[in-house]
Amino acid sequence: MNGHDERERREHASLRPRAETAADDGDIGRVLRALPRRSAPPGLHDALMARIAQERAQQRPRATRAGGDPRPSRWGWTAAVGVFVYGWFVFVPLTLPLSGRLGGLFAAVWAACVNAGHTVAEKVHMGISAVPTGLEPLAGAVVWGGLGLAVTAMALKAARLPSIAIWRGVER
Amino acid sequence: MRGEEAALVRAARAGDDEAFGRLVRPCVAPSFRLALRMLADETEAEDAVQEALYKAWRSLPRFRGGAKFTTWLYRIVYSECVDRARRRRREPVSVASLSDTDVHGGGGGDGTGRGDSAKAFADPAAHVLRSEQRQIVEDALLRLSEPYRVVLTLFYIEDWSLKDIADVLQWPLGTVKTRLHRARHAMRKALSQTHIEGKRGFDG
Repeated sequence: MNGHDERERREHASLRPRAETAADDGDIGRVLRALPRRSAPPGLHDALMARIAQERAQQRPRATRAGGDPRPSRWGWTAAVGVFVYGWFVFVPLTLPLSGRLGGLFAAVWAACVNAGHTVAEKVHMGISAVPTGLEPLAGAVVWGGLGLAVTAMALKAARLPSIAIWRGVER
Repeated sequence: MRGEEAALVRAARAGDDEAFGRLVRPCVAPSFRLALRMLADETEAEDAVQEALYKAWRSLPRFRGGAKFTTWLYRIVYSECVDRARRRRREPVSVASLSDTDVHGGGGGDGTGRGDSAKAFADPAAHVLRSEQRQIVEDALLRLSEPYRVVLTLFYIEDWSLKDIADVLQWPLGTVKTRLHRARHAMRKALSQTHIEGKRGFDG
Protein backbone atom coordinates (compact mmCIF):
# COMPACT_ATOMS: atom_id res chain seq x y z
CA MET A 1 0.00 0.00 0.00
CA ASN A 2 1.52 3.36 -0.96
CA GLY A 3 1.46 6.53 1.10
CA HIS A 4 -1.47 8.05 -0.74
CA ASP A 5 -3.68 5.02 -0.09
CA GLU A 6 -2.59 4.92 3.51
CA ARG A 7 -3.50 8.60 3.98
CA GLU A 8 -6.90 8.04 2.36
CA ARG A 9 -7.52 5.04 4.60
CA ARG A 10 -6.67 7.09 7.69
CA GLU A 11 -8.87 9.99 6.59
CA HIS A 12 -11.79 7.74 5.96
CA ALA A 13 -11.26 5.91 9.20
CA SER A 14 -11.45 9.22 10.98
CA LEU A 15 -14.75 9.95 9.28
CA ARG A 16 -16.28 6.61 10.21
CA PRO A 17 -14.15 5.44 13.04
CA ARG A 18 -16.03 2.81 14.94
CA ALA A 19 -17.96 0.72 12.48
CA GLU A 20 -15.25 0.21 9.92
CA THR A 21 -12.14 0.04 11.97
CA ALA A 22 -13.82 -2.58 14.07
CA ALA A 23 -14.73 -4.41 10.88
CA ASP A 24 -11.16 -4.15 9.66
CA ASP A 25 -10.11 -5.80 12.89
CA GLY A 26 -12.48 -8.62 12.15
CA ASP A 27 -14.76 -7.66 15.01
CA ILE A 28 -18.04 -7.91 13.18
CA GLY A 29 -19.73 -9.01 16.36
CA ARG A 30 -18.92 -5.80 18.17
CA VAL A 31 -20.22 -3.76 15.24
CA LEU A 32 -23.47 -5.69 15.10
CA ARG A 33 -24.00 -5.73 18.85
CA ALA A 34 -23.80 -1.95 18.79
CA LEU A 35 -26.95 -1.81 16.69
CA PRO A 36 -30.07 -0.80 18.61
CA ARG A 37 -32.52 -3.56 19.50
CA ARG A 38 -35.90 -2.31 18.53
CA SER A 39 -38.96 -3.06 20.50
CA ALA A 40 -42.19 -4.09 18.83
CA PRO A 41 -44.76 -1.43 17.94
CA PRO A 42 -46.75 -0.75 21.12
CA GLY A 43 -50.10 -2.01 19.86
CA LEU A 44 -48.91 -5.26 18.33
CA HIS A 45 -49.61 -7.52 21.28
CA ASP A 46 -52.95 -5.86 21.99
CA ALA A 47 -53.98 -6.14 18.35
CA LEU A 48 -53.15 -9.82 18.41
CA MET A 49 -55.17 -10.41 21.57
CA ALA A 50 -58.09 -8.45 20.12
CA ARG A 51 -58.00 -10.62 17.02
CA ILE A 52 -57.94 -13.75 19.13
CA ALA A 53 -60.85 -12.49 21.22
CA GLN A 54 -62.80 -11.76 18.06
CA GLU A 55 -62.10 -15.22 16.70
CA ARG A 56 -63.11 -16.75 20.03
CA ALA A 57 -66.38 -14.79 19.98
CA GLN A 58 -67.13 -16.09 16.50
CA GLN A 59 -66.33 -19.66 17.51
CA ARG A 60 -68.63 -19.66 20.53
CA PRO A 61 -72.05 -19.43 18.83
CA ARG A 62 -70.94 -22.02 16.28
CA ALA A 63 -69.79 -24.43 18.94
CA THR A 64 -72.81 -23.97 21.16
CA ARG A 65 -75.40 -24.14 18.41
CA ALA A 66 -76.73 -27.52 19.54
CA GLY A 67 -78.20 -26.67 22.91
CA GLY A 68 -75.02 -25.30 24.36
CA ASP A 69 -73.16 -28.55 23.85
CA PRO A 70 -69.84 -27.77 22.19
CA ARG A 71 -69.61 -31.31 20.80
CA PRO A 72 -70.99 -32.05 17.33
CA SER A 73 -74.68 -32.81 17.42
CA ARG A 74 -76.33 -36.16 16.67
CA TRP A 75 -77.66 -34.63 13.48
CA GLY A 76 -74.14 -33.91 12.42
CA TRP A 77 -73.14 -37.52 13.01
CA THR A 78 -76.23 -38.82 11.23
CA ALA A 79 -75.61 -36.60 8.22
CA ALA A 80 -71.98 -37.62 8.02
CA VAL A 81 -72.67 -41.34 8.31
CA GLY A 82 -75.56 -41.02 5.83
CA VAL A 83 -73.42 -39.31 3.23
CA PHE A 84 -70.63 -41.83 3.77
CA VAL A 85 -72.97 -44.79 3.30
CA TYR A 86 -74.67 -43.18 0.33
CA GLY A 87 -71.35 -42.23 -1.28
CA TRP A 88 -69.75 -45.64 -1.01
CA PHE A 89 -72.70 -48.04 -1.21
CA VAL A 90 -75.13 -46.24 -3.55
CA PHE A 91 -73.40 -43.52 -5.56
CA VAL A 92 -70.24 -45.38 -6.48
CA PRO A 93 -71.82 -48.74 -7.43
CA LEU A 94 -74.57 -47.05 -9.43
CA THR A 95 -72.11 -44.97 -11.40
CA LEU A 96 -69.67 -47.81 -11.94
CA PRO A 97 -70.58 -48.30 -15.61
CA LEU A 98 -69.84 -44.67 -16.20
CA SER A 99 -66.66 -44.99 -14.19
CA GLY A 100 -65.67 -47.85 -16.48
CA ARG A 101 -65.84 -45.53 -19.46
CA LEU A 102 -63.94 -42.83 -17.65
CA GLY A 103 -61.41 -45.37 -16.48
CA GLY A 104 -61.08 -46.51 -20.06
CA LEU A 105 -60.30 -42.97 -21.10
CA PHE A 106 -57.58 -42.75 -18.47
CA ALA A 107 -56.24 -46.11 -19.59
CA ALA A 108 -56.16 -44.90 -23.19
CA VAL A 109 -54.23 -41.78 -22.25
CA TRP A 110 -51.87 -43.84 -20.11
CA ALA A 111 -51.24 -46.35 -22.88
CA ALA A 112 -50.67 -43.52 -25.35
CA CYS A 113 -48.10 -42.00 -23.02
CA VAL A 114 -46.12 -45.14 -22.30
CA ASN A 115 -45.95 -46.49 -25.84
CA ALA A 116 -43.26 -44.21 -27.15
CA GLY A 117 -41.83 -44.62 -30.60
CA HIS A 118 -45.17 -45.09 -32.33
CA THR A 119 -47.12 -42.69 -34.46
CA VAL A 120 -49.97 -40.76 -32.94
CA ALA A 121 -52.52 -42.92 -34.76
CA GLU A 122 -50.84 -46.07 -33.46
CA LYS A 123 -50.80 -44.66 -29.94
CA VAL A 124 -54.49 -43.86 -30.11
CA HIS A 125 -55.23 -47.31 -31.45
CA MET A 126 -53.11 -48.95 -28.76
CA GLY A 127 -54.72 -46.78 -26.11
CA ILE A 128 -58.19 -47.74 -27.20
CA SER A 129 -57.27 -51.38 -27.45
CA ALA A 130 -55.90 -51.15 -23.91
CA VAL A 131 -59.39 -50.46 -22.61
CA PRO A 132 -60.64 -54.02 -22.32
CA THR A 133 -57.46 -55.23 -20.69
CA GLY A 134 -59.00 -54.73 -17.26
CA LEU A 135 -57.48 -51.41 -16.38
CA GLU A 136 -60.69 -49.47 -16.60
CA PRO A 137 -62.42 -50.82 -13.48
CA LEU A 138 -59.27 -50.10 -11.50
CA ALA A 139 -58.91 -46.59 -12.86
CA GLY A 140 -62.62 -46.05 -12.43
CA ALA A 141 -62.47 -47.23 -8.85
CA VAL A 142 -59.60 -44.86 -8.13
CA VAL A 143 -61.35 -41.91 -9.73
CA TRP A 144 -64.77 -42.51 -8.22
CA GLY A 145 -63.39 -43.70 -4.92
CA GLY A 146 -61.45 -40.46 -4.64
CA LEU A 147 -64.55 -38.54 -5.50
CA GLY A 148 -66.48 -40.46 -2.83
CA LEU A 149 -63.83 -39.63 -0.26
CA ALA A 150 -63.92 -35.97 -1.24
CA VAL A 151 -67.70 -35.95 -0.87
CA THR A 152 -67.38 -37.60 2.53
CA ALA A 153 -64.81 -35.05 3.63
CA MET A 154 -67.06 -32.22 2.48
CA ALA A 155 -69.99 -33.75 4.35
CA LEU A 156 -67.92 -33.93 7.51
CA LYS A 157 -66.88 -30.34 7.05
CA ALA A 158 -70.47 -29.31 6.48
CA ALA A 159 -71.52 -31.16 9.61
CA ARG A 160 -68.78 -29.25 11.47
CA LEU A 161 -67.18 -32.47 12.56
CA PRO A 162 -63.47 -32.13 12.96
CA SER A 163 -62.14 -35.18 11.11
CA ILE A 164 -59.79 -36.02 13.96
CA ALA A 165 -62.75 -36.13 16.35
CA ILE A 166 -64.01 -39.28 14.66
CA TRP A 167 -60.95 -41.19 15.77
CA ARG A 168 -60.85 -39.64 19.22
CA GLY A 169 -64.49 -40.16 20.05
CA VAL A 170 -65.25 -36.47 19.81
CA GLU A 171 -63.39 -35.49 22.93
CA ARG A 172 -63.24 -31.79 22.20
CA MET B 1 -39.28 -20.66 34.52
CA ARG B 2 -39.62 -23.77 32.41
CA GLY B 3 -42.32 -25.07 34.78
CA GLU B 4 -44.18 -21.79 34.56
CA GLU B 5 -43.98 -21.92 30.78
CA ALA B 6 -45.31 -25.47 30.78
CA ALA B 7 -48.21 -24.45 33.01
CA LEU B 8 -49.03 -21.52 30.74
CA VAL B 9 -48.86 -23.77 27.67
CA ARG B 10 -51.25 -26.22 29.34
CA ALA B 11 -53.64 -23.41 30.22
CA ALA B 12 -53.43 -21.92 26.74
CA ARG B 13 -54.12 -25.29 25.16
CA ALA B 14 -57.14 -25.61 27.41
CA GLY B 15 -58.50 -22.40 25.93
CA ASP B 16 -57.10 -19.76 28.29
CA ASP B 17 -56.30 -16.92 25.92
CA GLU B 18 -54.87 -14.79 28.68
CA ALA B 19 -52.28 -17.49 29.32
CA PHE B 20 -51.44 -17.49 25.63
CA GLY B 21 -51.05 -13.72 25.78
CA ARG B 22 -48.62 -14.03 28.68
CA LEU B 23 -46.70 -16.74 26.85
CA VAL B 24 -46.16 -14.76 23.69
CA ARG B 25 -45.65 -11.31 25.20
CA PRO B 26 -41.86 -11.71 25.69
CA CYS B 27 -41.54 -13.12 22.18
CA VAL B 28 -43.24 -10.25 20.38
CA ALA B 29 -40.27 -7.89 20.28
CA PRO B 30 -37.67 -10.48 19.17
CA SER B 31 -40.16 -11.77 16.59
CA PHE B 32 -40.67 -8.26 15.30
CA ARG B 33 -36.93 -7.65 15.05
CA LEU B 34 -36.43 -10.91 13.19
CA ALA B 35 -39.28 -10.07 10.81
CA LEU B 36 -37.96 -6.56 10.31
CA ARG B 37 -34.51 -7.86 9.39
CA MET B 38 -35.99 -10.37 6.98
CA LEU B 39 -38.60 -8.15 5.36
CA ALA B 40 -37.06 -4.69 5.84
CA ASP B 41 -40.49 -3.17 6.00
CA GLU B 42 -42.00 -2.15 9.29
CA THR B 43 -45.64 -2.54 8.30
CA GLU B 44 -45.07 -5.91 6.71
CA ALA B 45 -43.00 -7.08 9.65
CA GLU B 46 -45.81 -6.09 12.00
CA ASP B 47 -48.36 -7.95 9.85
CA ALA B 48 -46.10 -10.98 9.63
CA VAL B 49 -45.63 -11.18 13.38
CA GLN B 50 -49.31 -10.79 14.09
CA GLU B 51 -50.22 -13.40 11.49
CA ALA B 52 -47.59 -15.82 12.78
CA LEU B 53 -48.67 -15.47 16.39
CA TYR B 54 -52.28 -15.87 15.38
CA LYS B 55 -51.37 -19.03 13.49
CA ALA B 56 -49.54 -20.22 16.59
CA TRP B 57 -52.68 -19.67 18.63
CA ARG B 58 -54.72 -21.66 16.15
CA SER B 59 -52.12 -24.41 16.00
CA LEU B 60 -51.76 -24.65 19.76
CA PRO B 61 -53.65 -27.97 19.96
CA ARG B 62 -51.00 -29.43 17.64
CA PHE B 63 -48.11 -28.30 19.86
CA ARG B 64 -46.87 -31.52 21.43
CA GLY B 65 -44.25 -30.01 23.70
CA GLY B 66 -41.39 -31.82 21.94
CA ALA B 67 -39.57 -28.53 21.52
CA LYS B 68 -39.51 -25.45 23.70
CA PHE B 69 -42.59 -23.32 23.18
CA THR B 70 -40.48 -20.33 22.17
CA THR B 71 -38.57 -22.41 19.62
CA TRP B 72 -41.86 -23.58 18.15
CA LEU B 73 -43.18 -20.04 18.11
CA TYR B 74 -40.11 -18.49 16.48
CA ARG B 75 -40.18 -21.25 13.90
CA ILE B 76 -43.68 -20.18 12.90
CA VAL B 77 -42.58 -16.55 12.76
CA TYR B 78 -39.58 -17.47 10.62
CA SER B 79 -41.72 -19.55 8.25
CA GLU B 80 -44.21 -16.73 7.89
CA CYS B 81 -41.42 -14.31 7.03
CA VAL B 82 -39.86 -16.74 4.55
CA ASP B 83 -43.25 -17.14 2.86
CA ARG B 84 -43.78 -13.41 2.67
CA ALA B 85 -40.28 -12.76 1.39
CA ARG B 86 -40.77 -15.45 -1.23
CA ARG B 87 -44.10 -13.95 -2.26
CA ARG B 88 -42.59 -10.55 -2.53
CA ARG B 89 -39.69 -11.82 -4.65
CA ARG B 90 -37.58 -8.76 -4.18
CA GLU B 91 -34.67 -7.81 -2.07
CA PRO B 92 -35.19 -5.01 0.42
CA VAL B 93 -33.90 -1.75 -0.91
CA SER B 94 -34.77 0.78 1.73
CA VAL B 95 -33.11 1.04 5.07
CA ALA B 96 -35.22 3.97 6.21
CA SER B 97 -37.51 1.77 8.27
CA LEU B 98 -34.54 0.43 10.20
CA SER B 99 -33.06 3.76 11.16
CA ASP B 100 -32.57 4.51 14.81
CA THR B 101 -35.07 7.34 14.67
CA ASP B 102 -37.76 4.67 14.98
CA VAL B 103 -36.36 2.94 18.00
CA HIS B 104 -39.13 2.55 20.51
CA GLY B 105 -38.58 3.20 24.13
CA GLY B 106 -34.87 2.75 24.74
CA GLY B 107 -34.15 -0.79 23.66
CA GLY B 108 -37.58 -2.19 24.20
CA GLY B 109 -37.23 -2.86 27.87
CA ASP B 110 -34.97 -5.76 27.19
CA GLY B 111 -32.33 -4.48 29.53
CA THR B 112 -29.80 -3.60 26.86
CA GLY B 113 -30.21 0.13 27.22
CA ARG B 114 -29.24 0.63 23.63
CA GLY B 115 -31.73 3.42 22.90
CA ASP B 116 -29.97 6.71 23.25
CA SER B 117 -32.48 9.45 22.58
CA ALA B 118 -31.66 11.07 25.92
CA LYS B 119 -27.96 11.10 25.12
CA ALA B 120 -28.72 12.76 21.78
CA PHE B 121 -29.72 15.92 23.59
CA ALA B 122 -26.58 15.86 25.67
CA ASP B 123 -24.18 15.42 22.75
CA PRO B 124 -25.84 16.02 19.36
CA ALA B 125 -22.63 15.73 17.34
CA ALA B 126 -21.78 12.35 18.82
CA HIS B 127 -25.35 11.26 18.24
CA VAL B 128 -25.17 12.19 14.55
CA LEU B 129 -21.89 10.32 14.21
CA ARG B 130 -23.37 7.25 15.90
CA SER B 131 -26.44 7.46 13.67
CA GLU B 132 -24.25 7.57 10.60
CA GLN B 133 -22.26 4.57 11.78
CA ARG B 134 -25.39 2.61 12.50
CA GLN B 135 -26.75 3.47 9.10
CA ILE B 136 -23.58 2.13 7.50
CA VAL B 137 -23.89 -1.13 9.40
CA GLU B 138 -27.63 -1.43 8.71
CA ASP B 139 -26.99 -0.76 5.04
CA ALA B 140 -24.26 -3.39 4.89
CA LEU B 141 -26.45 -5.90 6.71
CA LEU B 142 -29.28 -5.38 4.25
CA ARG B 143 -26.97 -6.12 1.36
CA LEU B 144 -26.44 -9.65 2.59
CA SER B 145 -28.49 -12.57 1.41
CA GLU B 146 -31.35 -13.61 3.68
CA PRO B 147 -29.68 -16.58 5.44
CA TYR B 148 -26.62 -14.51 6.30
CA ARG B 149 -28.73 -11.60 7.49
CA VAL B 150 -30.83 -13.87 9.64
CA VAL B 151 -27.97 -15.78 11.22
CA LEU B 152 -26.04 -12.59 12.04
CA THR B 153 -29.15 -10.99 13.47
CA LEU B 154 -30.02 -13.91 15.68
CA PHE B 155 -26.49 -14.58 16.88
CA TYR B 156 -25.14 -11.08 17.42
CA ILE B 157 -28.14 -8.82 17.80
CA GLU B 158 -30.52 -11.22 19.55
CA ASP B 159 -27.75 -13.10 21.39
CA TRP B 160 -29.18 -16.51 20.59
CA SER B 161 -27.07 -19.63 20.99
CA LEU B 162 -26.03 -21.62 17.94
CA LYS B 163 -28.26 -24.47 19.07
CA ASP B 164 -31.30 -22.21 19.40
CA ILE B 165 -30.66 -20.84 15.92
CA ALA B 166 -30.32 -24.36 14.56
CA ASP B 167 -33.57 -25.42 16.25
CA VAL B 168 -35.61 -22.47 15.03
CA LEU B 169 -34.28 -22.30 11.49
CA GLN B 170 -34.15 -26.09 11.28
CA TRP B 171 -30.63 -26.01 9.94
CA PRO B 172 -28.04 -28.55 11.10
CA LEU B 173 -25.68 -27.10 13.71
CA GLY B 174 -22.75 -27.37 11.30
CA THR B 175 -24.68 -25.37 8.72
CA VAL B 176 -25.34 -22.63 11.26
CA LYS B 177 -21.64 -22.42 12.08
CA THR B 178 -20.64 -22.39 8.42
CA ARG B 179 -23.19 -19.77 7.50
CA LEU B 180 -22.23 -17.62 10.45
CA HIS B 181 -18.61 -17.78 9.39
CA ARG B 182 -19.46 -16.92 5.79
CA ALA B 183 -21.89 -14.24 6.91
CA ARG B 184 -19.12 -12.54 8.88
CA HIS B 185 -16.96 -12.52 5.75
CA ALA B 186 -19.85 -11.22 3.66
CA MET B 187 -20.57 -8.53 6.23
CA ARG B 188 -16.95 -7.46 6.24
CA LYS B 189 -17.03 -7.28 2.46
CA ALA B 190 -20.29 -5.31 2.49
CA LEU B 191 -18.83 -2.85 4.99
CA SER B 192 -15.76 -2.42 2.81
CA GLN B 193 -18.04 -1.84 -0.16
CA THR B 194 -19.89 0.84 1.78
CA HIS B 195 -16.52 2.31 2.67
CA ILE B 196 -15.54 2.54 -1.02
CA GLU B 197 -18.90 3.95 -2.10
CA GLY B 198 -18.88 6.43 0.75
CA LYS B 199 -15.44 7.54 -0.28
CA ARG B 200 -16.55 8.01 -3.90
CA GLY B 201 -19.52 10.03 -2.75
CA PHE B 202 -17.30 12.09 -0.50
CA ASP B 203 -14.76 12.73 -3.26
CA GLY B 204 -17.31 13.36 -5.99
